[in-house]
Amino acid sequence: MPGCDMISELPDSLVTQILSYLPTGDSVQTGILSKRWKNLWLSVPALDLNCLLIADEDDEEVLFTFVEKFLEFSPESSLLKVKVRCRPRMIDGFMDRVGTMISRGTQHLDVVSSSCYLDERSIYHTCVEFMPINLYTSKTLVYLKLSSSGLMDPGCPVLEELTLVRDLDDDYALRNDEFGVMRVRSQSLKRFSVLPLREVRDYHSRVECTLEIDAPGLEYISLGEDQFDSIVVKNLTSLIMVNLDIKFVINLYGFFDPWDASKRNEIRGFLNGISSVRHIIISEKTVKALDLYSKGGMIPKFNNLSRLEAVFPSALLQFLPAFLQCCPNLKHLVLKIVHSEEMKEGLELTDVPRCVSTTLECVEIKDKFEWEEGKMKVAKYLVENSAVLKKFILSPTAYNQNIYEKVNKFAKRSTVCQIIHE
Amino acid sequence: MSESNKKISLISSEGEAFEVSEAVAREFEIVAHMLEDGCSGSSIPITTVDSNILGKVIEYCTKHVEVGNVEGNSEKAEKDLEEFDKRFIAVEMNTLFSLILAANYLNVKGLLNIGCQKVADTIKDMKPEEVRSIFNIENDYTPAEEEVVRKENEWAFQP
Repeated sequence: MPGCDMISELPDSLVTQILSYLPTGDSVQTGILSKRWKNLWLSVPALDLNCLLIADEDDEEVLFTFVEKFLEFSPESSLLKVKVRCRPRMIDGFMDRVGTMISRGTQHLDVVSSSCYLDERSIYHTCVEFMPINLYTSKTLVYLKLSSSGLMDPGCPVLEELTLVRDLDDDYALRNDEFGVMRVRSQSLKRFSVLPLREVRDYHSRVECTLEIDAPGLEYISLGEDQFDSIVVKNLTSLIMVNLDIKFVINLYGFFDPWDASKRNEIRGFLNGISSVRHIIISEKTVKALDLYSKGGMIPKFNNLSRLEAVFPSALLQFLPAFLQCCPNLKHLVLKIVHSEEMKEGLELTDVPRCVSTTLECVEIKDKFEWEEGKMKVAKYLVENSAVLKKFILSPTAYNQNIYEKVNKFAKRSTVCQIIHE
Repeated sequence: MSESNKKISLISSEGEAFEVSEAVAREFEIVAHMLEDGCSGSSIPITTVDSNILGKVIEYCTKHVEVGNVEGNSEKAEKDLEEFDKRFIAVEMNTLFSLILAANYLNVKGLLNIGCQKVADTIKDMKPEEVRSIFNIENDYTPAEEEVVRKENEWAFQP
């Protein structure tokens, strides 16, 4: 690459903006480029700090000295984006510094909290560290992501996006009542996600926590894995998309008892609460739970739903028409069918739900494996009954010439239906 | 959004006129402000930006306005836009810096962000010597001075 010296022509404010996209350690390094660069990193309107990289775990002084220096260099200027990975072991007073950062107009905050402390006899204890109190009143905080952190009802007045990695110590949470309920009440919140824990740990939560959501502006909810024993939603009038990988109970393998009336009420309440949604994504686990629920309870109508993406175990395909019956205006169905051991004999798909005969325009079948009988039956059922179907798409992984030809031979109810293999 | 079909001419530093729709011109926040302040002229001089760069900035804004107007599958549109941004910003360094300066002057936030991000991605994982060499930064520290700066935050220089 030919050399260019235009970076020297950029004003400091643009250089610091460029540096704001780097981890703070990398931006500190630019201090030795030349005299002009010596202190530029101190004016960067962002901090992306992995505390583990600063000195040994025992060396708190180096960490504090660095953070103080950064915070004191231009205390009046904004710190728009803050990302801090705390050390696993809690350090007295460090959260106060995070509080100072938040008070500098932070819009985007991402914190991985400490998860243990050392007592005066040098014995380790697990703990959950709570966020500083000024977080809840911040008038600038728009995006918040917290991992392993304690969070009370995030009343933050302008918060739009909240993402939680709830990797909390189970024993600690069980001993403390405040972890029995997680409240998300907000007028401003648009997106709320609870990320699955399987990426950060290999055991399941045992904490029976109730999730309460009351957020009239919420457009997107994603709930990964069962981290809540019950979910109560209110005022979800702006909902666009819901992504669920839950089965409404927290134990690892078991499902709820479909004849338990209070559980049924709770699930009905949840489904009613999200019934205005336009786009649903549900995992195999959630499909199983909904099938189970439907044995004793009514699934409400999702009148606005236009797109459904679902993973169906082949043993539950019988449930598909009943579920589609609850989506009277569905236009786009993305179906992944996974093979299940307990394949039932004699799958009969006869009922034709309203959406299939009036609104369904596009079906996509996503699959990796060979097509067995159940999947073929579903394909036949959808092609033969969908009156306004335009596209029936076999995803690249599902496609082989044989399957395509078979599907293409079905009598198509819709005259404009194309079978497409991408 | 009245008069969305109205055309506006943006004049580059060489005096070349670029005719764009008002919606695209409004992506330049500086132009949007002029229009709001009652500047009704149909040609606006952009004296600090040359034709080559102005053309590119207009290309960027046109694409973003187009995608913004399409209803429907927003996820796909977002992905397309990301792809477009990635291709758009893959330019040689001098052009990249000119784009950043222009985006900053014209106040096109999206372009400024991807431009800064692109420079940061280029610097990331580079040794200071390499950064100096690709940007022609003259090292005006004495070795002793440089060592002092390095020592001050030793942790950041550890591999």
